[in-house]
Amino acid sequence: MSSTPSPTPSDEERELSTNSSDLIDHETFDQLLEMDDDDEHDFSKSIVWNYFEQAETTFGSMDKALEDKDLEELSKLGHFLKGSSAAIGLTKVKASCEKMQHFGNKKDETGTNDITENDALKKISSLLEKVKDEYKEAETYLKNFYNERENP
Amino acid sequence: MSNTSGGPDFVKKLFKMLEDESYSDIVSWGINGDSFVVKEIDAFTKTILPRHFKHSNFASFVRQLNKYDFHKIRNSDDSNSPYGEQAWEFHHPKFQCDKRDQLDNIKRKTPANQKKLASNTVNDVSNMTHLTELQSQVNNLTKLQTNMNEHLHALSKSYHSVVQDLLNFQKNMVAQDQLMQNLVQYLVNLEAGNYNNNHHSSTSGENMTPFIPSDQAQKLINSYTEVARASFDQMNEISRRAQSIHHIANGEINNPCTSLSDSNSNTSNESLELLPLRSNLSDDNTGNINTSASSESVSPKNYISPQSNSAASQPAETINISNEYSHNIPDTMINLHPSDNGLTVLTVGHLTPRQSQSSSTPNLLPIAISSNNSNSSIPHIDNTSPQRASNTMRVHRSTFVPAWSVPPKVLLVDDDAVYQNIGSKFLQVFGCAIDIAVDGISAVNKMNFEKYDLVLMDIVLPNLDGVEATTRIRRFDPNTPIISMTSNTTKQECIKYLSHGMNDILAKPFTKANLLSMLERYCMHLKVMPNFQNIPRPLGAADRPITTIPNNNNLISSDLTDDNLSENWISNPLTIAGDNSYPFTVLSSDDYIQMVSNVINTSNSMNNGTRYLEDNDDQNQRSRKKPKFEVVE
Repeated sequence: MSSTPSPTPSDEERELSTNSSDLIDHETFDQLLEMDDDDEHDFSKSIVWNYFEQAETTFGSMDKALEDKDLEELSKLGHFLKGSSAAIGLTKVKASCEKMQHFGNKKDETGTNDITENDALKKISSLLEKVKDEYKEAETYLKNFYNERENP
Repeated sequence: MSNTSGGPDFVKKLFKMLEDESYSDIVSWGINGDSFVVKEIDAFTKTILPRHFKHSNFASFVRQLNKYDFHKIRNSDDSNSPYGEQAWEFHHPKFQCDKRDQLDNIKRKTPANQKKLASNTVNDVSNMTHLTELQSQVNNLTKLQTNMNEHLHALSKSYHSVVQDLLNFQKNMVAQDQLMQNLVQYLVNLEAGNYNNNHHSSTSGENMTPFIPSDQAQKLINSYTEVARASFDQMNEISRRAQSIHHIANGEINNPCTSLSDSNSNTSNESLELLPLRSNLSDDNTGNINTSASSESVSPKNYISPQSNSAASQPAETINISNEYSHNIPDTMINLHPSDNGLTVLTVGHLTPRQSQSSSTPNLLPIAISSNNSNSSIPHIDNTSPQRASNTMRVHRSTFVPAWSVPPKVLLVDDDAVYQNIGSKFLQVFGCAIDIAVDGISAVNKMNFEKYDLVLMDIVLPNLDGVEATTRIRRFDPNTPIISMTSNTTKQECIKYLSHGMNDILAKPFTKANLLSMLERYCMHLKVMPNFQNIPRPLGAADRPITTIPNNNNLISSDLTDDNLSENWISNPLTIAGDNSYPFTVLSSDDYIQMVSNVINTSNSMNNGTRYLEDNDDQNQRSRKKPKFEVVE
């Protein structure tokens, strides 16, 4: 995948694990890795790549829904991506998606107080950029992770 | 006296009579001239009546008067009567001595009126009769209606049962069809294996197997030769292994595959490692080596392996057969996993996707050994090796699988591909057969056609959400456990799910452990029972404990499962026995159903309403699903 020269596996491992604790929930992700057969990560990788695909599609839909000011759709999309992100263990993305779900329902980020439609759209538009960044971060991490496993 | 005006004759005669003064002592006008008085009834009757009215009947005269509406004037006080006590005074408002012209207005009381009155009464009477008649008719109709309703009800009831029967028959047909196909497939594979073996070793390729008549076989072979050739390389591999097995055990199996599992051993290179492991087995099992080797039982196994990329497609028409060769280790055998009562499955080799299963059949070599606790005398294993048919996925895994008597059939309803994949994977590892629905509607449809042991239902779904889908499913299926998979686990939501017929809640994202606990909770009745000698078996030799069958330490059963093959298809069990004492035995469906229902009735305590059969709380009376296909060699 990535052609960037990687440090030695042990360094990489350490570096990633320190960096990624809030990015990824290792308990969840390890559970996926456990399901892999031996050293090959076909299964978890297929899941993760599947997730990437799904996430990219969802971001596209979110952009469009934001353009259409379709809050309800944004809430649904937030819920959807929240689910799959949680399944992989992508904590940050999941949290942001949950906020989007609330904003879409015209609630504040905890889902308790009402906010106006304009507020909601404003909040979502900045949130969407944030969640995309978080996703990119996760994607890079995961791709590196698999790249490194495959090419130690 | 000229008769100038009309008027009834009687009245005219009467008037005329009164004009005759000579009768004044007998009959005359009254004092006021508005009535007339008959003073001497006897004389009147004898002399006047015959003269004027041609009869001598005073009563008739009075009757006539009444007819013309004359009324007798009764004297309230007899003493005051001016005409004597015997006098009869008659009065008519228009009959006055000086008003002759009014005579015309004296009319006989209209007979019509009388008739009318009479007819009215008659009508009333007839109306009454009519009414009663109608009433009784209505009553009869109502009664009839009720009867008809009851009849209709009965009819619709029997219609339902007929439909039910039809569905059952359909399932039956499908199951039989499946069985037939599997048998054919199996035989064909044997043929193909033989063919290839021969081809490989002698390059003659002409030898036909003795399993099926050659002309029929030829047809089958022809159609499967391609298949065999396509997998020629793999077959070579198989042949090689076959020979090594033959060295060891002089086995007669054409498609050999030994099975062993050792969770500690990493059998990455199966063909190399099998041999020494097999030798170990022989060493440990010296007394039994011949039997265990020669009694390798072969059973076609059909397994549902829905893939993520074909989740929505219904792979119904094709059969995926993997020949599984399972070895059951007799009780004297070493116990590899003393702590487990479960089944350890090690799958080795390439699993190829279901779509190309016809060519992949020979490659699919799940290898399994199970070792049970020595105190649980279960020589019977249902191999539930997870077969994840992802594209050329390589499976080298040793996992603990609950000892299902039948792989639970799970319907996973989720629109999220990530969950579909993860869920499928986990469930496969747990030895389940999986089906996937991507939205609420297809979930409802699948529930309509299939019987599942468990439904994992996402809530937020396209088209029809999980709650609504559950509501609809509950209309026809009140029993199958439906688990809500949701990230929204607030109390309020959970109550909503449960109140709509869901049985439990599995928080998303679920962990492997959570999922397994759900599975074990709701499919407990499918676990293999530790003591199944107590369980009636639909074999001809039902009362013969399996463990005592000589040379039959290995009893392999497999269940044919497919999307359109209902798991609870239980009748028509078929036993194939290599032993002469075990001829083909087909117990009649009725008998078996009866038997099973008895079992169910006596062990209903934990019934989740799923497929059937539940163990007693003491777990001694565990019953199990009868394998549809058994091989005893």
